[in-house]
Amino acid sequence: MAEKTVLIVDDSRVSRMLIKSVVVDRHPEWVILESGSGDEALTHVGEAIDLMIIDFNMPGMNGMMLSEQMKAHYPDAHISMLTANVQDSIQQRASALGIGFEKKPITEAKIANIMSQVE
Amino acid sequence: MLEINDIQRDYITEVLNISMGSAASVLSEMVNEEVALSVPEIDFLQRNIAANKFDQTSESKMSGVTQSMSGALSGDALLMFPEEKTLSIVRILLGESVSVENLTEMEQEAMCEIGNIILNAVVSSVANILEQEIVSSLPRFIKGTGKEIYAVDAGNEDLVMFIKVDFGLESQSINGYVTMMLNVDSLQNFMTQLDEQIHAI
Repeated sequence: MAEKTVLIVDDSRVSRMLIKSVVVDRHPEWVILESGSGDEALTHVGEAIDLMIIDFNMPGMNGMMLSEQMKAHYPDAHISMLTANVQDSIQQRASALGIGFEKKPITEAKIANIMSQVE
Repeated sequence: MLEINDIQRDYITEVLNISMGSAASVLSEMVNEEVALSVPEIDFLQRNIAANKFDQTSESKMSGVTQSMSGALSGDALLMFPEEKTLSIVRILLGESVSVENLTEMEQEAMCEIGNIILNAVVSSVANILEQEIVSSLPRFIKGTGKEIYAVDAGNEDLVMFIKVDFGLESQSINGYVTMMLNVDSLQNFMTQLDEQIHAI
């Protein structure tokens, strides 16, 4: 199985931990990058990234703004928004941008579903 | 003074029932058990009276999470648990793999994330029903009695719509509350929207 790189962007360390534990369980060979904010995530631009799991509500840049920028840098990567903000308006924006959308709470099944996009 | 008629009260209760239902469903997904909910209490009160009312119903100090709302509705939403239960809640969320030292260290962050998920479920559901957008701030960890948490002085007589729903996790004997204090100036728009929806029924 090919090694993939996943970028996890969430201001909550707990959320990052929960996501990471599922990724590691399923694919211990995958490389995991973590960022606590949009700005921090942008410092990874240039590195090979296959999958991004991005929170919406974060200090500074929100997840949608980050996803728009990442989409331009990585047209072939899969981006999924994983958020507690499940308003229809946010879901519609995600769908218009062509990115995935999963509702928090984080469960193994949801992360597995996001991962299946690049497996 | 803003008043609501029976049908408006009934509709607000229903909106909250649905919204709390989605919050209960995310909570139940997190803890893997059924969550019991009370019927929402809705009152128009002065802010200081609302805080006192909250204090009377909670026997102990509470800890929890607050988020401010703006947009279609403005005010504050709070998720509260008895202070002594927070570690049990964090333990349920993070599972047995985390050591006790780490658990204590992560208590506030984990509570913030739990609050973020539950409060956003309520707020998102209200926004979806109203077909409008509500912006929520980042979650903030809080601790104290009702009065301390609402940080009011006895003189604050601003009118708020005070909403309270109790919930419980039976097997863990954990009870919590979700409250919302909505600023009355934002309620006019909310009521207009409700009336439109009531008329459309």
